[in-house]
Amino acid sequence: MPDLGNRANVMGPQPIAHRAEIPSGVIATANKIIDLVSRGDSADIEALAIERARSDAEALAKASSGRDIRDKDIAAIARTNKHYWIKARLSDASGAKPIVFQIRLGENDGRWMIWEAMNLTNSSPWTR
Amino acid sequence: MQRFIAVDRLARPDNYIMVSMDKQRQARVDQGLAPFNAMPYEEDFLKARLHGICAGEVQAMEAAGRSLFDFPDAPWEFQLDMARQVWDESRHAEIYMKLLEYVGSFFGEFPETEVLWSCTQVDDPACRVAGINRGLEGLACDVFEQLIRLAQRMGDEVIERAVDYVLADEITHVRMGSKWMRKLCEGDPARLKRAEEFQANIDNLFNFGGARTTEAETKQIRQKLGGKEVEFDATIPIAKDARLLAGFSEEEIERLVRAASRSAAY
Repeated sequence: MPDLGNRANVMGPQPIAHRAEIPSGVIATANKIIDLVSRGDSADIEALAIERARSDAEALAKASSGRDIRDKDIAAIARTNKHYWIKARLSDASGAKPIVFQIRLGENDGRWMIWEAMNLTNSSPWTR
Repeated sequence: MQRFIAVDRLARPDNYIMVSMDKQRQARVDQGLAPFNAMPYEEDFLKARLHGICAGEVQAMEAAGRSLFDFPDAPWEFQLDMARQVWDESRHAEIYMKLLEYVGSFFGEFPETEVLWSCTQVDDPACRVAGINRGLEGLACDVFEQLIRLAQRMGDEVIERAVDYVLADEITHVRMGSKWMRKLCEGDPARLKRAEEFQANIDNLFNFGGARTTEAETKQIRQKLGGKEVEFDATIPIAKDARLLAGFSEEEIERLVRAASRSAAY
């Protein structure tokens, strides 16, 4: 029987490229927006949105009004080229359905801004 | 279990980003890119293209499973073919997940769109296989044939062989679609016409700007590939040889080329 070597040592094809890192500014801006939404701060959120996304961003802030948000987190991040989609989840202590929203962040004059904002609490991103 | 799952009822984990095709296109346009798929000259082309295919394989697996479940009165052999396709697509999804890691990506790096699942929205099995097996899997033949040539230009045998392995299955899936579309519509020309029209709508949806033609006639442009500058396709050609193997007739391919080169869905 020929020596076929130790299977566990066979590494197979190795990656030909590195994973792209998410810019730290994206995470920082996303966390700031999540915080603003949880506080219902529509004015500051609007300031972080490009003009055509302002009303949707403002509506996000209103979605949390009257709720005492306790937990908030980034549920997922994906990208389209150099724009980042961030899905966030906010929960209060009452056990009510969490607020789920998705934003698209892209650089605009050197700042990470909201280009799109969607409230997904009661719908899918694919709802027409 | 509910039959005929609507586009926005397809389940995905919470930690996963879904985006509608319209919004995805807008995101590309906002960055000065062409609205449709990533093309070979883009920086992240391989990652984005393989990701789109991987998501397509997952949805194709779900679609074949749904065809099995949605049409319980279809012939037993039809159901067997759909079951076989579920198995094939799940293996393809795994292959593409591995290829994503190979090119420095992962499943979930890019959003998933609804566009492929939207092609399942029909309640006739003949239309379903015309749209999914002949329309979408036919497109897969085109995309995979291009990817194989691209890998050959890059000198990358891992991508070349992996995609070639998957392409062999896709050709079989298209053949199954052609067989069942014709068999289910035997003696019913009106039904056959509806199935062919359903497929034509899907073919038009994926004509990528209306400039698609055969591989031999596709415009070549200079672009960066694997660190080298090479001449390569400006768009996704129609893979004539693969489609002939898959059971498309010369006439059907010519019709597809004519339609794809004149209409602009995006």
